[in-house]
Amino acid sequence: MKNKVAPTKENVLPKAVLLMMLSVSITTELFASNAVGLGAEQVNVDVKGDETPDPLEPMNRFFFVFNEILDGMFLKPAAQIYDLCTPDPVKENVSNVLDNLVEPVTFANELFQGKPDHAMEALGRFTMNSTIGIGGLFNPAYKLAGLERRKRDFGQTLAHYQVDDGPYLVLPVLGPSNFRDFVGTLADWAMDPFNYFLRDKDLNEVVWGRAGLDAVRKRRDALPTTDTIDRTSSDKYATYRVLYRQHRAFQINDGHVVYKDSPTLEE
Amino acid sequence: MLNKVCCAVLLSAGMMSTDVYAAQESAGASDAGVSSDAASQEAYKSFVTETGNEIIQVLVHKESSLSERKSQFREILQTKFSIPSIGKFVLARYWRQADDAQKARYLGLFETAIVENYAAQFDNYSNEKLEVTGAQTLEDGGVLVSSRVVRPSGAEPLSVDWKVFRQSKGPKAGAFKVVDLIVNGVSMSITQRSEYAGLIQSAGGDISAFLDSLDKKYQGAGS
Repeated sequence: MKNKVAPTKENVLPKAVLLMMLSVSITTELFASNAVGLGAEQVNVDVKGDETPDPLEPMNRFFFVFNEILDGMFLKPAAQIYDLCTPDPVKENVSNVLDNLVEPVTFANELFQGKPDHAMEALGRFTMNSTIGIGGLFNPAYKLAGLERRKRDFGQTLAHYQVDDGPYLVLPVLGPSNFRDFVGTLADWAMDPFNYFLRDKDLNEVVWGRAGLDAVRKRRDALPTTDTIDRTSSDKYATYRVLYRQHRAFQINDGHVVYKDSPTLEE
Repeated sequence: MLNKVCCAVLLSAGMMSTDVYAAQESAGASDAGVSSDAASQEAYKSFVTETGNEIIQVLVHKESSLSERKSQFREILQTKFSIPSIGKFVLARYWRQADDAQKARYLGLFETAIVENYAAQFDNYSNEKLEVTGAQTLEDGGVLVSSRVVRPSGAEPLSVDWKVFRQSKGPKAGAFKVVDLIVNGVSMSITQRSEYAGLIQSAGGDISAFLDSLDKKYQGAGS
């Protein structure tokens, strides 16, 4: 089945709310989840709507509130300004450039997962978008060659090798994660060739600038979703947790729904 | 067995009728799904295309008044979705604890809650396009139809999966009903279940108090 919409997208269906994406916080790519190690485990929902244990809940709730405050003061206003002041085509260019810059990390993770064909696709996308696409501003790999963007992170690679996700974690500033995905985030950050190059040239500001811009554009994409959650959720911590786990399971399962518990028709 | 084969043939030929469903019912519950092949999945896919486009029409039709759009949306919800099925799943174990009057009251409030929650977001849509990309028959007899919603704003397309059943009994036998929407991997039903479980717990497990709180929240928006 399924579309291969790049699993990593942080998208937002306003209503339905939910897509999860960014946490309310500055989360960016770090979505992780708990559910799932390739389908081995499943989100089992019952009483709390989400039975998976959350042993670090008190600490997580503390950082969740902390992140919400930071978000309200900095990230959300920045995302709103970006949204209002930037024409849509430019936003698309910005997203294209940032997405293109993570292709090398995707390439490496595809290799780590033993998928050389997918790695080659990532390489192809990167080459095409960086050249014909003028440094990644455009996405001819998709528009002309039909190569859909696919993101792979090291948390997914670990999941691929059945590494358990460990307890759910809300990281200060970074937002929802878990032990496995936190390690993944650090590894991705460390292996990113552009960051490596920039640090080598003493251009740390550029590294942070890129991370900041990435956070802002993702936060912007998530605005309708987070507004909906603000309006409808009675316990935002629990809402983000259930969203995060499901969305992350979906990413790890290659953009296919992980669906073991769902309504059936009552007649 | 022959019965099943017969049904499968009829189903895939698209010759749906109440008689077929009656036969199938006696042959065993979920045959419709299991035996459905690519041809019968096409019917599910067309249903999703049609329903998705109807919803998009309501979303993008900005000239109509909000109350008009809400009632169009409610109409789609009532005809194309199975609110009782979704509502029961969402309430989970509390459904069994509720008495009939509470169940009826809950389903009414649940429908209103969906309409109100979506209506508040009507303005977030502009010129979405939906394309169905595939279908997969599930073990429970439902069909998961995959689609992607392309958004004009340059944001990434959304992956939307629709869990659809075909009614086998009653006057509407043969009609399709959506029982869940999964957006980028996030099931609306599971997410809503988490929300209501939290609300019921904060109401001390009292279902009536929970219903009162919903009522209060959507006051005036009533059905």
